[in-house]
Amino acid sequence: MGSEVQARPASVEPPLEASRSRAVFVIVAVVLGVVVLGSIAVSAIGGSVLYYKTPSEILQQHPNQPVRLAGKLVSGTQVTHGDGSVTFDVTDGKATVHVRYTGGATTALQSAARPGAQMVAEGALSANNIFESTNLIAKCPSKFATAAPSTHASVAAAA
Amino acid sequence: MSSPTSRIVLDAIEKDFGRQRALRRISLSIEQGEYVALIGANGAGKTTLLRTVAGLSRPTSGSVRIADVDLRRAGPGLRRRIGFVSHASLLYPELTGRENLQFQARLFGVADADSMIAQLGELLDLAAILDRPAGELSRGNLQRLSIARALLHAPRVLLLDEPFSGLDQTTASRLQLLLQRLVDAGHTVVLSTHDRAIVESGPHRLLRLDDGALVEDRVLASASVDRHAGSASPLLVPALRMPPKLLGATLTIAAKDLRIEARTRDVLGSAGLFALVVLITASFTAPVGESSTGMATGVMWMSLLFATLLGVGRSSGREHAERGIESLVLSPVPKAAIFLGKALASLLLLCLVAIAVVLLFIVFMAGNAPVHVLGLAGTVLIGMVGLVIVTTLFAGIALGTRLGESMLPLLVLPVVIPLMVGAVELTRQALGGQGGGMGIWLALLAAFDLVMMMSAVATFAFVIEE
Repeated sequence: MGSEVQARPASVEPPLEASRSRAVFVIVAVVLGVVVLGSIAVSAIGGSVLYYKTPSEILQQHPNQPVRLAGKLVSGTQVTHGDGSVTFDVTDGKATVHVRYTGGATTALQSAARPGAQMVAEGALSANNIFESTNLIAKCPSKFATAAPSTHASVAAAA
Repeated sequence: MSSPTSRIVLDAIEKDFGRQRALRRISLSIEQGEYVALIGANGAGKTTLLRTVAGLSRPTSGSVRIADVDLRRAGPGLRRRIGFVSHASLLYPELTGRENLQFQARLFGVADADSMIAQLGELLDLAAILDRPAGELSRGNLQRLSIARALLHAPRVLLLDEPFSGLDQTTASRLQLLLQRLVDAGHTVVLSTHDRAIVESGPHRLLRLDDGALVEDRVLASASVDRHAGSASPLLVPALRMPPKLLGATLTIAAKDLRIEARTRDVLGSAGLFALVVLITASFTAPVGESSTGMATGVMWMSLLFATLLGVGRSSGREHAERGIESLVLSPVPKAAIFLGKALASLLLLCLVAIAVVLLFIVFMAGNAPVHVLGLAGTVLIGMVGLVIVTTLFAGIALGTRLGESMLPLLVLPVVIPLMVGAVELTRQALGGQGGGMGIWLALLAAFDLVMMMSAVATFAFVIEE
């Protein structure tokens, strides 16, 4: 069995009892956590969720509210302007909304022109009832396509 | 010592596990220097009682006081007075015996770790096993190492749950002699056993439990023979310094996790591989150039989320293999350091995974799209911090439950919804080359991280206690 050792200099003794400040910190942190988390969740989720609206519904709501407009592209209404913007009409069969898209190059309009395809435009209705959009998505029966950089066309061609 | 004695006082302790009552109104007092044997049939409550006195199990009602301090308010000084030998070794199988003891020495503020390890090696005949991974040791050798772990800081109160199980006759005799010498030097020893020969060969007092109730408490005949507790010179006298505070303990625990990972590559292997496979598979479903859509960035963040669940789950699972987490709870370091150390190590590892995932995401799915590099890096860092914090906190809860790892996603996913929404939106903007609108989202994500961190630090100690 082992050897005894010589006593060393007196050791440092930390406090036997925990300080009360820790309990206060726990209470403050939990209360603060619940309050701030709730606020963040509401603002983060509330700001990011965009509901789909049909042209009929959009024309009945107040302008300048962020929304997703969903409907069919009216063929022959697509016009590309000198400043790069594109205008076209979207309909749900009951009402038609004029859309001005200023988000740059896109293949979504070509995809939306296919039979059965739907157009989704993110933006807001202006006071003069023109839907101002910066993001377009062609919602096809089998896949989504969106505003895309130039490589998209070359891949589509390769496919 | 600031308090002359380490008397243990149990006042009407009751402990319920669901509808099962494990301890029934136990009240007793154990003086410093007593040598107590705890006996009883299987399921009588011996282990629960010892775990309650050690501070690993919170009593349903009643209180435990050691050195006149309620255990619920135990500070680092009181923690350092207690040593506990459990059924599990409370060691890390991936580390060698020496590395395990050195880690414990750092947590307990033992300045002369090498000298103490050498001394305990001699007392418990550890020479042949100290430099072997604990996971490779036999039951008996692991038990010897576990006893060395509990004695390393020379605790005044030594609680041993069936310490002789698995030991051969020679080692058992060594341990009996060692315990007797510790008692002679003034240490309090409480051990549970089924062996009547052990009860009759040293302990001064016998406690018998039956169905959670204390049914017998008597002085043993052997107590009258040669009892002079505290009169012998100290057997173990480590040079103790202040135990590490929050930062030091956090770094010590993180370094331990990284050392284990360097040896096993468990987290990087599983989480990294999983994230990359998900990403590559998803890339076949989205055309090149679609990286700035919410759907594509959503796929990227889902792969990072599940990689985090997997990685943190593995890391926490290791803590439960031999209940290493309990050695952290028993130590005198701030409980917040356990959370922060685990989270820091996981974050460093999972950031490596995230870098690989994001780079591959850009190559596979972004094409020639402009990238706001600073915004993307900030998003990934803040997003990963949030994911790791939430997952580490809930891993502490989930792995203590019967469902274990499968419970983890169910707990984490609802909480990280705001984080995922923000991270996906930010990544979409960064991959569209837009940095302008990112500030408010980054601030929201940073606030989420801060709030979760505070909540985790505040609640983790409660979460990991039984």
